[in-house]
Amino acid sequence: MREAQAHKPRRAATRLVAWSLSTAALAGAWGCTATQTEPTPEPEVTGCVSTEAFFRDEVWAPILSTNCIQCHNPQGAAKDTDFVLQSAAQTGFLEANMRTIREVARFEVDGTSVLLLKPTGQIEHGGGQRIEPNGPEYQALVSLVAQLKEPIACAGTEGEDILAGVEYIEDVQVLRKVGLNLVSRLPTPSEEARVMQDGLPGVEAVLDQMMTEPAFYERLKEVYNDLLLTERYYQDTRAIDLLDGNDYPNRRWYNAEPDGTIRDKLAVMTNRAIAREPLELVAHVVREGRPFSEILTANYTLMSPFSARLYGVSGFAYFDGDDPDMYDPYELHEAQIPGVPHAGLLTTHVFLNRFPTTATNVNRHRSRMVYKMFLATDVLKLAERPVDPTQIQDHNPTLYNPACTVCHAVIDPMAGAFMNWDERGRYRPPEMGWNADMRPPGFGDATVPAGENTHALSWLAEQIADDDRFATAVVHTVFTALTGQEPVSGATDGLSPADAKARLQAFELQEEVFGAAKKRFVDSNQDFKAVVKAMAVSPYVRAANVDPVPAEREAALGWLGTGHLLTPEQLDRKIVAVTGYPWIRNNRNILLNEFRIFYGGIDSDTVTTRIDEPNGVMSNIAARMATEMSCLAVPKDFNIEDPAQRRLFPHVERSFQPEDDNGFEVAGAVAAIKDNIRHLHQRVLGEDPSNDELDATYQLFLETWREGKAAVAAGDLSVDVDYRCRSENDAAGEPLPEALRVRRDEAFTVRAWMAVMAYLLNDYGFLFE
Amino acid sequence: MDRRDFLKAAGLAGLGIVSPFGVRTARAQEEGPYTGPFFVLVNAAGGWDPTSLCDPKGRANEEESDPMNYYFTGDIGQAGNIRYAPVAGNQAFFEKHYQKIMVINGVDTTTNGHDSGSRHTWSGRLAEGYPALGAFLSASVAASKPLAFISNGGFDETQGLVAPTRTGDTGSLSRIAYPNRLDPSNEASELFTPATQARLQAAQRARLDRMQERQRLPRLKKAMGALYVARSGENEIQRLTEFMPTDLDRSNNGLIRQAQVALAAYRAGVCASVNLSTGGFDTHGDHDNRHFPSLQRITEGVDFLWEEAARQGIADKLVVVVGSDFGRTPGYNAQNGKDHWSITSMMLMGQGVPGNRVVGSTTDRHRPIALDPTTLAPSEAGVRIKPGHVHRAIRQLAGLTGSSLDRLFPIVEEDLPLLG
Repeated sequence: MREAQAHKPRRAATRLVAWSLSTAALAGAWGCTATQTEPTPEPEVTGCVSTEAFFRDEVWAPILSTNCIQCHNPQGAAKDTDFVLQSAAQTGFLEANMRTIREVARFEVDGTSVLLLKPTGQIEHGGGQRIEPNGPEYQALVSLVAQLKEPIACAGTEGEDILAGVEYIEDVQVLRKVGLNLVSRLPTPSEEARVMQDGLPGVEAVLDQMMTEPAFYERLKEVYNDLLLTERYYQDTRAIDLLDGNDYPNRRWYNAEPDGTIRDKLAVMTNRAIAREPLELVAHVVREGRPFSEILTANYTLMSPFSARLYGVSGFAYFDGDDPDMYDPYELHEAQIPGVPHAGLLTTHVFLNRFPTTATNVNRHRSRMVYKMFLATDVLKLAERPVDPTQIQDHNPTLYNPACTVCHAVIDPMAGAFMNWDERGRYRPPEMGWNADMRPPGFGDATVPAGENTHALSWLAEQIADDDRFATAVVHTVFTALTGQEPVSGATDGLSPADAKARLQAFELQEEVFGAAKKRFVDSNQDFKAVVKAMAVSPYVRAANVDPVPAEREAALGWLGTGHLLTPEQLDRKIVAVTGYPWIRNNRNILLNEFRIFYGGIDSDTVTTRIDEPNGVMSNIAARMATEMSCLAVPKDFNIEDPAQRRLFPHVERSFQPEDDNGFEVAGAVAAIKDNIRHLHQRVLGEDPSNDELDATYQLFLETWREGKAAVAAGDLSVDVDYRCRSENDAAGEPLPEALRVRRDEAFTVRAWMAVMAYLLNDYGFLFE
Repeated sequence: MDRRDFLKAAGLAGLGIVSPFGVRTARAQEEGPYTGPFFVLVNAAGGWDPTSLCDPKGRANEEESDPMNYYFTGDIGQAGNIRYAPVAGNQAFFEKHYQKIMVINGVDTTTNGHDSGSRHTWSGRLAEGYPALGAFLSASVAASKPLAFISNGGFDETQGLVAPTRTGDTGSLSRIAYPNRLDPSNEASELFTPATQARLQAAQRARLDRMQERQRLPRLKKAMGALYVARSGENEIQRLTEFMPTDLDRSNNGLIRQAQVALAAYRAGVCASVNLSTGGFDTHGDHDNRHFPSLQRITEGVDFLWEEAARQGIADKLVVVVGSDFGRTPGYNAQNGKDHWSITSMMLMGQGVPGNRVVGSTTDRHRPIALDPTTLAPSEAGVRIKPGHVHRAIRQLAGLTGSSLDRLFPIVEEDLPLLG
């Protein structure tokens, strides 16, 4: 019997050491010999506050972001000055604003920086006096001006190390957590051994293997569907219905099939190929190890034999009246639709229809979504400063009024780049060119070159691929996929000074972690998997707890740890991974159908955002799942004769009772039962239970067994397991040998174990990751 | 620690169940069904056109070159003190309900972005970080109820105050309500005996207690707290099955079905607020033909809500707020549509709301007219009505002024005597 040992998360000495371990070790900088049990060296905490940190905490948060930016923003009253600040909606806003203030601070009048003179009203300032001379805000500016002349850089760790005292889960737990997320299975013993030996580099090595499994690509498609929402068209012939009959006269080619059943099957297969084009492209690019930006730049789409026939593309083995099941609907090949300039998923029908346009929207919605999904920029947030309609009296305000141009200068050029695709997603280059009253098609300051108008989206895709924000967007997507949360925003509007400081510290930490992940992405020629690995070993996934710290630092740690409620899809797969059986009813996965919306899931159509915290209804659904799955899985596991082959009960038999007929403890049985409880905690919850937890679970088993045993003896309960839970046949439906059938339960152990399983399956550690 | 003790302790600690920058106040509350006011928040998603509803403008004649609306000013209707546009189902709606409607015109959302407009209208603040009105209200009066805040869409950020609930296939409610029954319609089909079930639940609570006690990372602590609260009303959902109509409306007006479910949840005592939401208002082209049917869904949906509430004897409990992201531009664009405009209207109805009342006004071109903060009369030196003013009034109406959540999410706009 193993010695009971409480799970003790490892504590990080510092942010830099703790987080850098994986990447640095992989790069060889740490000699790659450290194991997870070795103490990490305590670096010297200097008490130093760098100029950047001072700017962030003492100037940006309390002064600039609340006071100055009201006018000094791209559409504000001071938009034409040299002092224009970026809002937190802009990627890299802190660095950009630091650069701006550095430039402005250099201007002096009689030896004093204008940064001090203007806001105090000592020289002409359009906004008048904004801060008190010699007040604390002024003093902060004085300090900053001095520091800008002689910047303070901190060697090693700054005084306030945000990650000091954070505890991390064991490396094998990291593997379990990420493995369940990405490939919906538990690690094998050999994979765990690899991690035990190699630590976090071992996690990355195993992940490399896991990310070749088909389940990973299913998960990848799920992740990107949360952005693209194109699964809306997966059912029936919804995707085919989007296609223009004139462009694709063969779009319902399957109607020629006389057999209705086969015809329906062909229609479904064709539809799925069309509906899945963007998601399959994402999976294909990653699977083939191509630069990830190919999801936008690909000059092809993916076709199956069924969709190729619809598109009229040759080179595929067309269905010719034989058995449609002989054709693999998932055998996809790169191919081009004649006459259509492809730009990866951007030119797929389902993408263009999922994000449609109108005559007056003129592709702005499409532009906004591309910015959001692939450039990590929420354009609408650029305009969240108050606008005044009485100021909007211009002709064509989206071109000329600052209240409008703040967004439109960004989205309109890209909207123009979509000019060749009409509201139905058809390729229809405008005969008269793009709208003259809008900014010319382009991206940022660049304009679509003359002669490239007919394939402007392809040009745009290349621009996006080269943009630093594309990497940021990939990192954001992976971060959300692994942690279940959106990245922290650097916006501090409305926060108290203390909360603003904490928010910015959290933001800075995130920027550091994300920056490292981005670097790996760029250095690996846009390898998507590199980002997954970087994020998998980041503190956001690994953090488990923290030593007692002051409240403000606790707030700055608000985004650490993966305490996110599993989505219906993730929970559905975890149930199978742990118990070996799906939670189904009438052959349909319950969480993916009946309870999908109740449990916070999406349908990619009318419900497109997930609920990420449980409510009363979801809690009851989890309880029902625990009831039904314990009813199903416990008997089935006991059907297996060889204990070593059992997933749930390798240490006990149904005959193992904790007490004899006289109420005396049966030591051997109790030890085995506790061993099995420990095994269940590890398998179901991924934890090594402490003695307290072990005892609590054992007490549940023991008291349930005592109650049931007495009730059976008294005739108050049947000796038989409820007929809905009995298991008397094997997987093929053949009757099992009598000894392996689970029907009678005189000892009441089967039902006591059901209580234990229900307890664990409805636990925080199972429902959350 | 039992549920009451937990909620009480958390409430006394002033914190409850934490989020990084928000707080779920777990309040000690009376056991039993919730019977207080029922807050129904009706969202016109996409930005409605108040000039086609309760702030009518019209056109003087057919020769008017840039009309605000295509209907004529002479056709503008009036029910009591409330003027309404002579389109869609407005006449029937206002004639029937004007005595309980308060119209607030000239509300300045200060934005023309959908997300920010919706957030401003329904949280009372333009910037992020405040909960939706429904979350604020339900967290204030019934945070521990299992369906305290039902959301059918619209802005429904909760800031960790209360978990929103979505309603799916209501035919599955009995399977949700009785998780221990293998056959939900059969009382005798419980997998675990009542004693075992109680033991199981006690063990789960105790384990979560132990985990929470050890945990200090806010995100994880918050997640555990959310699960704790979610579990606290497990048995109350059973009452929902008693009140849910067996035959929900299947018409193309989703508001009716949403209202049916919401009323059932309220009658079951498990719900205090609901977001009802319907779209189709973002009519940049062919405005009238596309916008009016959406307005009709709103008026018919709200009418149904009142009719059904009266039939079920709970009309006196309703507080209804109707609003949208923002308004639509004065006049029509080249595609006969209307674009985004930051000036809008809101309507309040129900318990404590002075009906047959119009507050605020706009110019002929739908620009806001400032008003005196004391008399509410037009005043150039006055203030513009903003969503925050309306939220302040609603908080006052709900008796929540000065409450802990009111202090936690203060409204910066001043008090206006909107309610008289």
